[in-house]
Amino acid sequence: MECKDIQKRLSAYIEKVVSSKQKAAIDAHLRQCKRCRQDLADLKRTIKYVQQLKDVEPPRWLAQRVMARVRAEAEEKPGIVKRLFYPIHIKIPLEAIAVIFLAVGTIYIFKTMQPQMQLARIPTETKEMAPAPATAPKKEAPAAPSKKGPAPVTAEEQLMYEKRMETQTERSMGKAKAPAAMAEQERTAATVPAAGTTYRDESDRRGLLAPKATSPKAAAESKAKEVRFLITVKDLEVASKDIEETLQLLGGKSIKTVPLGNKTVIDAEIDAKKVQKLSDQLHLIGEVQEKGLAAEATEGDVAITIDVLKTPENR
Amino acid sequence: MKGTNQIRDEDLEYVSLCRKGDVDAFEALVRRHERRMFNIAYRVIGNYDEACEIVQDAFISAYKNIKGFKGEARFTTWLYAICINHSKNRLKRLKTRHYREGRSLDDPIMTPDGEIAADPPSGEPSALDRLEARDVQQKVQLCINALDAEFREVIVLRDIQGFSYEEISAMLKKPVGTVKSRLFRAREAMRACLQGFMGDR
Repeated sequence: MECKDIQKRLSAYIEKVVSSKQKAAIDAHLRQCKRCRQDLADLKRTIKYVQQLKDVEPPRWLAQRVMARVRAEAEEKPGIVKRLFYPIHIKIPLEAIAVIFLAVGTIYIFKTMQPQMQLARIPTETKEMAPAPATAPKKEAPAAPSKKGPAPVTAEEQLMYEKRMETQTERSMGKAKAPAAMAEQERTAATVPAAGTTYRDESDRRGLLAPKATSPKAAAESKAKEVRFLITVKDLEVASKDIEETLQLLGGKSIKTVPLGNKTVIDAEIDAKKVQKLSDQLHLIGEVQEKGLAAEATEGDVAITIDVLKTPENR
Repeated sequence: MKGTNQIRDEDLEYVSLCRKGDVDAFEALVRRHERRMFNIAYRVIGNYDEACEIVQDAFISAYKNIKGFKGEARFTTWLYAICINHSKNRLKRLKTRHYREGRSLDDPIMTPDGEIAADPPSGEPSALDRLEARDVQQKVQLCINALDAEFREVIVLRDIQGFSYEEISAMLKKPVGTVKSRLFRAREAMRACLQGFMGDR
């Protein structure tokens, strides 16, 4: 073996990973070759030098810095997970609570609104309800003027009047919407549209006014002789009796009381001069709305209709 | 700390804690292995600051991939392999970056088959004998720096860190024979390098 080949195998020789045959050859060469012996010594020394390299101290902050980054990493990971899923934990209950609040709130608002809605409906209702009792004075109405003297009622008008009465009765029976308006129409020309009066009432009214216009005289008469009160009281029965008594005291005639569940309608005829007094008295009994008080100057009797309403409980 | 005298079970205990998200357990592993990690990185890269960066990156990557450690090998084998890989990758980057700088020592080392170019004069005391102890550390490192990465890693792992061939084979994922032949060539190159230093003197 030449030196070249020996040198290639020196490391293996040192590590003792050469075949016994090669080892013997190397041993033989080394014995006679000083240079190769020197190389072997250098190689061993080199390995020794390398092995003797001292450990280098890592900086003290190294582990800290590593852990700082690791912790940042560890926090970031659940951060992503949290960002994706954490909101659901909060959102779902929040949404559930919101839905419940909405539901409860809606029901609550509905419940508190209901009485008010009834209230708002009252004026219209009153009118709707009116025809039933209104029929009573109606029937008398022709009588009243006849009592007073020759009724200036033409045959034509009479016919119309009767016709109207029929319709009214029909409507009231069928719970039609604005017969009250009609009834009122006939009695009072100075119609004050009450709150809640619908447009249809208006049109009905106009429709009724049109034929009336044909006989202004009759209109004027009815205007003078019909007064309607709307009185709101706490106790329907007691108030009704009071009103009846009041009417009697004022010399009211043909006093008729029609209880209609949540309201009472009282019809009567009193002297036109006593209408104001009646009004005053009624004001003592409850809240009064007057309609068609054009009777002050009128002579003779006036048909009075008093709608007695019960005050809503929460009022 | 040379040799693989780590108690395997201790590492595995912390490793399983780490898997459950115990950061403190990972810190224990960092403290236990940072020194060796640092020295491996330092000897491979030959630069203190770069070694710090490598160790940090290697630990972070170990933390991220701790679930990838199946326990087939020692934890240290797995951990140091990460360190070696990071070192090599950084070395590659640095080499491309500092390509123009070159190294005066590269040429003798780069000669194929690690042939020794310079023969010391016979009869005289070996050039390596003249190497003073205080120079040795620096010169050895310089010679390591002159090696190719594949030779650096074996000499660092075997002669400096003292891992067994089997461990090195597992870390580098190379057959033991390959590891040995690389090591021998690396040692030859080291000897030539150190002799070259003497010759320069």
